[in-house]
Amino acid sequence: MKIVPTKTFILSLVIILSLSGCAVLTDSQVKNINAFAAAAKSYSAFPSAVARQRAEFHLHSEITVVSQSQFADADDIARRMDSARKSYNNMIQLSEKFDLSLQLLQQYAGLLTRLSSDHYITDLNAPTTSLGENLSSLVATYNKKVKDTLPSSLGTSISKIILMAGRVLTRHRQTSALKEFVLAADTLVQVTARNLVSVLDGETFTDAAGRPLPSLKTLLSLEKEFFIQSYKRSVLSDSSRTSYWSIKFYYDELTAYDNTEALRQGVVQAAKSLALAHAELAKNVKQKKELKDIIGQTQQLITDVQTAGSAFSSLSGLIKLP
Amino acid sequence: MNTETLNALKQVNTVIGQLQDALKDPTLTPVEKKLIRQAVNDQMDLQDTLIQDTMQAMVDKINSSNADLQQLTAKMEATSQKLANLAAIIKKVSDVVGTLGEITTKAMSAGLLGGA
Repeated sequence: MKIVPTKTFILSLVIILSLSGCAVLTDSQVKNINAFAAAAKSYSAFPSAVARQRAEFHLHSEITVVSQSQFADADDIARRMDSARKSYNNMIQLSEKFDLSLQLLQQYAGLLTRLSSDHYITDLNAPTTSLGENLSSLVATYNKKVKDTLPSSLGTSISKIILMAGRVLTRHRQTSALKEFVLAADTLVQVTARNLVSVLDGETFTDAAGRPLPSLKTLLSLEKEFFIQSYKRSVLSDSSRTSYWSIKFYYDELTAYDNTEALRQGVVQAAKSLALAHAELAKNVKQKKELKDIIGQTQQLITDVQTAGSAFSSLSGLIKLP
Repeated sequence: MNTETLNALKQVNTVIGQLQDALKDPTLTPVEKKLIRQAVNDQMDLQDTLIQDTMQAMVDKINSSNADLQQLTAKMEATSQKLANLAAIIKKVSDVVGTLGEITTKAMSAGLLGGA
């Protein structure tokens, strides 16, 4: 019996080629999913910072009102501060919930990164080494016993074929899942970003019952007006209370309002970019195709998330009570 | 557009300012001052309630798709696990083939399996 090794190779090649033909996305598309996921993972904790800061401002305004010299009644001040503290604590608890949907989107982005990684394929490298060695040993033993010898590299070749088939199959499953999830997530990403923008931007937003309510932008603006009004009446109009430090506090508080507004704008911009980048990503994974570079919308998302991050940093430790 | 909450908040802010001004009147009796302070307190409670309701509505709106997002991420977790299992199965298959090769080699060396 004459064994023709080329037949094995041809058969293997056909199997691999047919499997690779099933790959759902190109490497460049997977690279774009990775880039989007990396940018989306950096975008979090900012909406809660705006809401938390608004709660801080409100507490300062309440303290300002009751600090008016004519308000000087210990019981009334204590009662007001009890209510203010309860309200502040509720607001802080609510603030934390502003990030929940973005945290889920971050989780989604993290899973996109995991699903598009090579670690499943890397896992397939180890066993094939011993497999190749064992099969080469078998070939050598076989060749000692028979006339029609096998090529000495047959063991390694089978090992490589199993590895390649495993890689191709895994890649096929990976890319198929990535495409399915990116397309399925798009509606959710769009709705989440749209809701976030509607709550944070514009004058009002509509709740589930259809009521128009002031947006966070409006609340922040009203809070600023309320603080200015209260501080002027309680402190700046009272010569016994104006000092370098009281004026400095007024100045710092207004600066903090401006920084919070800048952060709010950054969060809105990042949410819009997130929605745009994901929509473009979903559009680009519908068909298998080569993408020359990282999609422009993803690059914009990276920039906008960094801008929001800078605005977030500028808020830290800015406000101190006089 | 009906903007009741927004208008109410604006009015409350204005009223608190007016009450603060009223409190500065030196002719007020202690009882009148007490009443004004109580009114300020009430207005600030109302202000807190309006803001809290609004913030709660914001949270509800932002998180309205969370259940669907959680479902999606759970599905993705399961798929990731399936992929890891697939790699493990391929690894197992290759190990089995390798072990079989080793056994066959040893059997051939021992003459248990014949060649020509």
